[in-house]
Amino acid sequence: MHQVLERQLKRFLGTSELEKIPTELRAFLQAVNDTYSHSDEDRALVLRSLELSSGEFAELNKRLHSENEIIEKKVRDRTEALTKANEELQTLDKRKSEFLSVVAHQLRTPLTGIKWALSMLVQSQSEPLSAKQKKLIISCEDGNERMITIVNEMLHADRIGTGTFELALVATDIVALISDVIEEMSLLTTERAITITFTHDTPIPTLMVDPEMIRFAFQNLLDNAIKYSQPHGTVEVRTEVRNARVTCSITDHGIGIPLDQQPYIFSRFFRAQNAISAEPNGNGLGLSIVKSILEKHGGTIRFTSEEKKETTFYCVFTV
Amino acid sequence: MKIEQKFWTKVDGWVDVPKGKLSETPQWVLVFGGRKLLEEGERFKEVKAMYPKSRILSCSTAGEILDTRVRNDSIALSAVFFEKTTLTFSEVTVEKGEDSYEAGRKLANDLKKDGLTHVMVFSDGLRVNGTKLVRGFNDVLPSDVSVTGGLVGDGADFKKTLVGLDESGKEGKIVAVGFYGHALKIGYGSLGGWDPFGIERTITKSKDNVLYELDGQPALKLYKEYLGEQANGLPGTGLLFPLRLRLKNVGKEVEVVRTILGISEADQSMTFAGDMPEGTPAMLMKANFERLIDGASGAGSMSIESLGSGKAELAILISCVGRIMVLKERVEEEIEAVRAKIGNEAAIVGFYSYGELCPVAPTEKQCELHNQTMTITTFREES
Repeated sequence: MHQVLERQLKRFLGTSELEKIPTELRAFLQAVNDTYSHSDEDRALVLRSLELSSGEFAELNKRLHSENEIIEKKVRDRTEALTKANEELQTLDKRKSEFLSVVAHQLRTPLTGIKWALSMLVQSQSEPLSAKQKKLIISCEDGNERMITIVNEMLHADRIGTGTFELALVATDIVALISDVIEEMSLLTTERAITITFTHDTPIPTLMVDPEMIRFAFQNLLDNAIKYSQPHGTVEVRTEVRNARVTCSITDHGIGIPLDQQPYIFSRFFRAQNAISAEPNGNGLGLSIVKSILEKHGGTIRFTSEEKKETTFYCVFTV
Repeated sequence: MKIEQKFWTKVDGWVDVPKGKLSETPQWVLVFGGRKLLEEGERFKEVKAMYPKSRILSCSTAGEILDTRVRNDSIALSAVFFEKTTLTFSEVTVEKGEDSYEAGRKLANDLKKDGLTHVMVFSDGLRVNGTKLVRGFNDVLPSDVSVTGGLVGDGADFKKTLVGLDESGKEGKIVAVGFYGHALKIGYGSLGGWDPFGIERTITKSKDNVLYELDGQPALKLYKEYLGEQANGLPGTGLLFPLRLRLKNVGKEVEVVRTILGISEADQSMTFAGDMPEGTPAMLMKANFERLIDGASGAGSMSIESLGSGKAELAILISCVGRIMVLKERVEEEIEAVRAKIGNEAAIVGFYSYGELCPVAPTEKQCELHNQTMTITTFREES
């Protein structure tokens, strides 16, 4: 008999002995006894389930904690390895920049010397040159000029990459600056029979920029546009103002940039394959320098391009 | 529709339920009884003598339901006369679970005729694979024919289950009843009342409806741990912890409940009433009293609401044996909860089962295998 029922019978009927309890009640008491027993069984089952379940959750927690520690250690180790690798890369990069700077400086002086010497030869009145000699010297001058340009770009890239230059900001008429640059390019455009059109909103506010740096940037962009255009093609330059921003765009209808190479176009020393095929001479520094110049001015540069169709670069300045 | 009911017990013999007495010959007599009683055959002979011209469906049970009483080792009998509805009966025997799909198809094809409105299935509860059986029906029957029914039982013994058509009953048998005609209105509802608990595990080894391992450990070992002293009562006590599975079904995830039918100490396996696919997430479930009663009540509401306007005349209740394990001596409270919803006019008959068949919602027609539910089919004939 269940102990609770036994206690209750003793209390209320004076006895728990079934023989002393009226027969007609015994079936009922049996049912009550069963109910008490089942209730105990149910309670025991629930408690057991709770205990086992809690144990399983604790075990799961412990395992998750342990796995978490392993993952965290892996993350720490890998972060450490990455940091070290990054430091090594930065050191390498710095050494490379220093090397470039030293080499460029070392080269510039003799190159400048060669330039002046060649110039004097061409202009000499006392010992005039034959046509053939002049042609050869002009060819040397061109090559020398290219080398000077490359050395200057390397020096620019180094200075910009290491942040070792300051902007000399001046209120600048950007329309006039761009017009000048287009004018400077006239020899190149004539050579390749390229037509440059320039349209602009009126008025365009003056911009606080370093005119030499911005000139360099637009020279680079226009040079690329002309270089990669088909002969007798057009290059459209446009300047407009919208929402306190001045946007200068340069569009050519030339070789375009392959889609899979577009993500790298502003990387130093990178040149797209079709650009290398079209124009083997080039060091891949130009666009990275242009980007750095614009960002130093608080501006941005982006582009759209479709291979074999057209490319447009957008330089955006905040007014 | 007219119904008369009676029951048989060892103490009182045959007792008529006062309400209703047929003067017509009923087309269908439902006989739900203890397995040993049906095996003896004597009671069936008596029923046959009472209804010589009727089709008699016999099912062994895990508990007999008549009105709001639940009995064991008794016979619950309902004889039904349909005024405007015709019935067709079909039967098939399966030797093993793998045959269940074809069995379902065969029965469905036998019943698929013009005017078919509803099918009720009464199936062996131990040999048949309920999942495959259901698929067989669903693949053949038109989408506007509803299917309900159950897998019959054998108390908490799980030794053999019997189904018979015009006989006392045999193992492996499935009987399907087709109802034809537009006068018959059918409603149905199925609800459980069990809740998952604890950590989610994964079925790591199984074959069809036999489960070997959860999370790489023998499933039987897990059940014995949870049951403690009650592990001696396996497989019956295993009903206290059905499994909830999250099954992938045509790209969607559905939750189903699976109940234990048997165990094997030799290979530490557990047989369930439906498929247990490897890789399926599974959680143990538990019930409490109030949730089960609410589930029964909810199923009653669903079965009446889906019947449309008008009251039910007959309600066939198929409730899972697992519910008795929890409700115990208070099991009749769930029948009373159903009665409270379907009204006093309906004749209630039914049994405790090893599986229930019903659409997942009253708006659906195709049936699914359920476990641990109260499943109700209600009938009304319009005049």
